[in-house]
Amino acid sequence: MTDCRAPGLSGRGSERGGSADTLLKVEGVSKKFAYSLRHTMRYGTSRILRELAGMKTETGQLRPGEFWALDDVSFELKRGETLGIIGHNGAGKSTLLKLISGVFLPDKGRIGVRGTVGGLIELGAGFQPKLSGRDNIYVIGSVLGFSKQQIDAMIDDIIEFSDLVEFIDSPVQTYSSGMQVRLGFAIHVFQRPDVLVADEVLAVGDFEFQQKCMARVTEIKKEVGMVLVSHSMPTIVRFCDRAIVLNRGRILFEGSPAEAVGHMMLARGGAPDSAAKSRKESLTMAAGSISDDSYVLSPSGQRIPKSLFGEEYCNPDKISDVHCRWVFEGTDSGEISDVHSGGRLEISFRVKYPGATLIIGVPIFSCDGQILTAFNTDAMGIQVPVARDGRVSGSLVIPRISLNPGEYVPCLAIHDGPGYLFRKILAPVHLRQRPLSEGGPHLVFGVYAEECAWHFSEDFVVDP
Amino acid sequence: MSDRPTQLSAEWTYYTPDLHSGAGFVEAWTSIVRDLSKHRFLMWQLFKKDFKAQYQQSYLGILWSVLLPLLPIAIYVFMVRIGVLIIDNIGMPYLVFVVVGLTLWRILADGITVSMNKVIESKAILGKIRIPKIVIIFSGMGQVCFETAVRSVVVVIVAWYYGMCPSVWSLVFAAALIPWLCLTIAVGMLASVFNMVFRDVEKFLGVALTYAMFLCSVIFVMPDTGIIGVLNQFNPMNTFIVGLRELLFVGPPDRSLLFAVTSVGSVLALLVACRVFYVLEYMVHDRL
Repeated sequence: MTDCRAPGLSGRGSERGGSADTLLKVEGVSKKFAYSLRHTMRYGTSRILRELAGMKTETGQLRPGEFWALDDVSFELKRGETLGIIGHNGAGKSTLLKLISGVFLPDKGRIGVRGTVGGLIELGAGFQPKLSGRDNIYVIGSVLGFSKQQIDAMIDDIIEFSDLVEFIDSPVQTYSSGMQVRLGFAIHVFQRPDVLVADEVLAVGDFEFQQKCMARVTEIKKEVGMVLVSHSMPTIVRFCDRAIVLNRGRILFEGSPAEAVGHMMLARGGAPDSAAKSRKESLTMAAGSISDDSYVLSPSGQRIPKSLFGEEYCNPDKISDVHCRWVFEGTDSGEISDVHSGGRLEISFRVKYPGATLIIGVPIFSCDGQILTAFNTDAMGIQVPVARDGRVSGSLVIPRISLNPGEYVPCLAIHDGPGYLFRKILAPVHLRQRPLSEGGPHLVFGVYAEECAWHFSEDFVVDP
Repeated sequence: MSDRPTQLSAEWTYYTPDLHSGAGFVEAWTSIVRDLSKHRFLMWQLFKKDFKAQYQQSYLGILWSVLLPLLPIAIYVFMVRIGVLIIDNIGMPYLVFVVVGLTLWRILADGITVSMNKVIESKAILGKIRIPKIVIIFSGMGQVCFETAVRSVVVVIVAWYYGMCPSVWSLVFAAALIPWLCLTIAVGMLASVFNMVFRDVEKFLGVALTYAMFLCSVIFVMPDTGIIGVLNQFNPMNTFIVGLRELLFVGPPDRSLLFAVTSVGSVLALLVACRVFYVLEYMVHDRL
């Protein structure tokens, strides 16, 4: 058995308490920083001098040039629970993780940790580029609190997990950035602390490696209390039991991940600039049934956070009059269709400049944000014709929709080469299935629903 | 793959704004000793990492530790030979005098510089995981001690060349070296924690350590008389360089009492520095 206790200090600040399975208590925690290095130095020096003179320093008040990076944040975390922390850049997510890790001390409140804290943060940090991957496993392993015996025992597993067997004795400076992150993840993921903090590290490496990481973290998270910071809303929804939205250092919302993702869209920090405002207005004018800025409303009345499906965007200087609507066979509704029936998405817009190399894409998402398929003019080698006045009209025709019954969220994206002109999350489409008695198709499992047939015969044997 | 410990620790660790604030001396010392003991493997790994990184992709490798100081030594010897630098009554060949002096001086100068630099260089890793900075400072001191051991080979070769025998008192040299290391670590600890807040410390010490050597009987003898003589009684660096050199080749230090007082003072300085470091280490970490 490997006891993987991360370094940490106890003693002076230690006591007994808390409910049986609570591992982390964040109680009214605030943290302040100075805007400028000049203030950082001045207040730091003052703190040193006062401490050396035996004078108490009042940390709970802001001084000129300071701001609260975190302000009165409280929550608890139990074993087996995963808490998502979301918020825009500068909301205080990373500061919170550093406070939980004990790297920073709070300026108000207190943080209680039962057991050890491990981190999946900045996986490439600490590598010595001239040393081999193997040597770096020992260095980073020791930093994470592993003993030599523990590293000896698991080094083969780490190397195998990282998929770097052939390169493990080469200097890390010869690794690609992806390889470095894979090695970092492989070392970190063998930690078994009581509280695990993870900052944007679940989408490292290629797809196959990402699946390994996800599987490993899913396995770990049952046994630890996990705090996960991510900008990937689908990850938050799929991984977390609960989520907190931070906005300018304060908790804006705490609750279910899906609701938190919706609230995050309201948590934009600062006043929108005129360009952003203009883009927003332009979006509001565009086609689609949207309940408010943050959600799309499904035909069954479900409010789905838009941010699960990526950002919306419109450049009003380059594109206007974007309209689109679904037309499904056998129904007047643009939102409800039968499985296996056909449909088309009619699209029209106007480009305000000549010479655009237009690409139109229509990805289709599941309601939890997983992309299921994406239709794209460029991938099919189709050139989008633009009329003299810049108008583009056309439709995406899908002769047969091969998805199982359920609700799906399409998105319309219009690019000029690699740059977005427009991206909009469209109203969800409800695919329903007629009963077998009414000529509906047979049931298949999963998402993809192709028609098929089974044939059995005693006459044939599959060659081994 | 390892299994996680199933036993739940009942101990809560609380991080509060005044953690370590007003901590006593005993608490600070015991915590630092505990941290050093607990993180022995980390210290060793950091030392090995820096050692390997420093000498990789180099034909001469560890020889650079010897060769680099030889250049200034050659210059000083040359200056003495041509009469620019006049050295009288040093009681030993000048080459032995300057090699021993510089080897001892480099312990202090490199020790302080390495302590400051290692903490700053480790900013990325210190920003993501809670590691006691004393571990990083001691891994740097390990590097300094290793390089000193390599340079000591030069001292032995030069002494042998001039037929100089170590004095009987050289047996206590190793013990007498401890207060010199204590002074180095004390200044290194304080410098590194202050340097986290204001980088003026490394700039000032960078210059000061270059020129303070000329006040410390490293390459020539400082006068015992006059104002400089009086002031030098309060210069612990001079007292150590002179005293340790005498212990090695002559006998007990001329100013034994001053040497003893300075030694005791240096040990006390380390104890005070430990307390200051312990109190401030995490308090000012967000300024790093």
